[in-house]
Amino acid sequence: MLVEVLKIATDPLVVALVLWVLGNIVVERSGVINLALDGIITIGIAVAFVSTQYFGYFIGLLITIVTSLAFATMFMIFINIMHTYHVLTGLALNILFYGLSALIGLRLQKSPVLATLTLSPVLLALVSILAVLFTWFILYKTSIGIAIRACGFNPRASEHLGIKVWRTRFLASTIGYTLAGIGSYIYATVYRGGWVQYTGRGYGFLAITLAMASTWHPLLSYPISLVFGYLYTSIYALQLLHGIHPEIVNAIPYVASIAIVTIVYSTPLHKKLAAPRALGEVYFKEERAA
Amino acid sequence: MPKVAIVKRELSKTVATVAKVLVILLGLLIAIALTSIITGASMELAGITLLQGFLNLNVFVYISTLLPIAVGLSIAFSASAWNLGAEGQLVIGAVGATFIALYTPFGRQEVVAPLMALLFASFLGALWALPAALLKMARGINEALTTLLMNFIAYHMTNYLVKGPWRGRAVYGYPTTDMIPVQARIPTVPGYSFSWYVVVICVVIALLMQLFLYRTKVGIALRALGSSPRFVELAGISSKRLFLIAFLLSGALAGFAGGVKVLVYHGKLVEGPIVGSGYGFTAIMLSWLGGLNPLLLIPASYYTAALYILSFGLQIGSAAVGDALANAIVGSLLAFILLADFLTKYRLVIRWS
Repeated sequence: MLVEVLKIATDPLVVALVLWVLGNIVVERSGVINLALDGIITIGIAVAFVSTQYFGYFIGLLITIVTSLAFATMFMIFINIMHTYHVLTGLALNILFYGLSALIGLRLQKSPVLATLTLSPVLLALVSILAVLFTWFILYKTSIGIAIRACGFNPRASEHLGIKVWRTRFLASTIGYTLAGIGSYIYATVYRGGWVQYTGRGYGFLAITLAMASTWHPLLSYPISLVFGYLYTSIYALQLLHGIHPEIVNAIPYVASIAIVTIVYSTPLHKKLAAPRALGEVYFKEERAA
Repeated sequence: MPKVAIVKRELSKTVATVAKVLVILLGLLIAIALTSIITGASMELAGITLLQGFLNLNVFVYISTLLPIAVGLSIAFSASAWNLGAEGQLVIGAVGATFIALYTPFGRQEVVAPLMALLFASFLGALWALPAALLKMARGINEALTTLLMNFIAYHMTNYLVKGPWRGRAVYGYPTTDMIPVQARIPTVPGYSFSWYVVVICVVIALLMQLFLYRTKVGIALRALGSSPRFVELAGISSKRLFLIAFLLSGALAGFAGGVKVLVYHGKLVEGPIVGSGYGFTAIMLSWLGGLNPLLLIPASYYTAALYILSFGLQIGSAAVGDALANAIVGSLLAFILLADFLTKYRLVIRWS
């Protein structure tokens, strides 16, 4: 049992998934529905793959993070400055990002494979656990985190308390997409070591799902990501041993996520695990013009 | 330090429309320019390919799927019901149509089969939208997220069906069902994979929904729900019931489109992501392009369809680059539409102090 857990916790795919989920939690805690995550992950993977081929592993990591942040900032400008609907912006930018990622990967790659980076399993597990603790600390123990969660709960009230909503959301996206960028890098260089068109597409939505299943709480997100990581990594073993069809295993996270949220909302648990209530609300602050 | 403020403004409908049309024309220019830069083809060639897209009869293949979904979604979005699950509702509609055609006695009767299949497809589509609507109404759970997740459940369910119990006996192990009986298929135009019957039905649906939204009490209340839910409640109309109507209508129309895809285009059930192929998501943006107005959606869907054809025209050189390019073009066009929305609804005030 313990061996199984350790195997999952050190799996690079699971580590990447944990980082994406955490990144999404920070952004959605600030009240932004983060659908652009999927596109930015896809771009991040393509950029990590290409830039590592040109500049080596370390610079590749930096470039991946910077690119992820740049596109996240674009997303945030749309939402916080242009006051567009979160959902529409996310979906529209996703289409653009899928296209860009493929153009980057197809046009700039030197070869379709990349020597995978070997990291010690301990280091990988440590990265994900530290990221969980860091996110939890930021969100629940610092004034920045309180501001972020306030914006997700009621942006208007937080503005009255002297929190600049747009500034807080930009900050949240910076923290969140740094984590997500590291996740994309780990996926591309440690786990995959190769790239085909649209590699990574769909993981963003999975991360959004898992964040919802853990009611946007970083500490809960870790065990939940491990459970689904286990399901994914042992998808064929489950079929052989118990006769469960892989497609059914694939659908479990989505069904479970809806079920968990329904249960939490229907019981007194929702007082303890408050979800960001203003998620997806377009917040416009009336300003006095000159 | 200059101070920048963003202030709301009201522009007349005509100015806003002109802005949108300008963006759409700009989109064509972007499409041509990007195409020639990336593929190295001359501007003229790219322009001709695009023009051919508009004149190609295949636009109707896309219109007959995209238009009904977008019409349904514009009803839902007018009522602030964020149904992002059109993709899943479409896929489940396709499952429903296949079920009627392959596994019920109706499947072999002329005329009855396609009608029953389309009805059942719409019913299943609405049913697939129902849980998200109920969860929102009863527990206040964000419907955008639940509908989004329902898409993936639909994908995997369909994949399970075509790889498991429904896999056809004559398909050599491919993950598809057998072909549906000829009687259940809707006759297509020779040489093309669309049917005039369906195109006419789609346009009629758009017209009917236009009347529903703008000429009936329920429709007008639906549109008011988006901007001022309290006002609707004061007028004595249950906002929850309106929300449910909007949601189920959009689900049913997406399911209808799924039925059309099976009966006209595929002729059998294939894997979920192939049935859906992103139409549900494209339709979300399309309904926005048409300003949530069913009548304007007809030209808007024509335009989107032509862009789709352009993307296939581009794939002649290299399929991978063509597809990537099409995504980049459509995505940047949609981003520009959001930008135009911002510029018509708000203005920037810069104050030097």
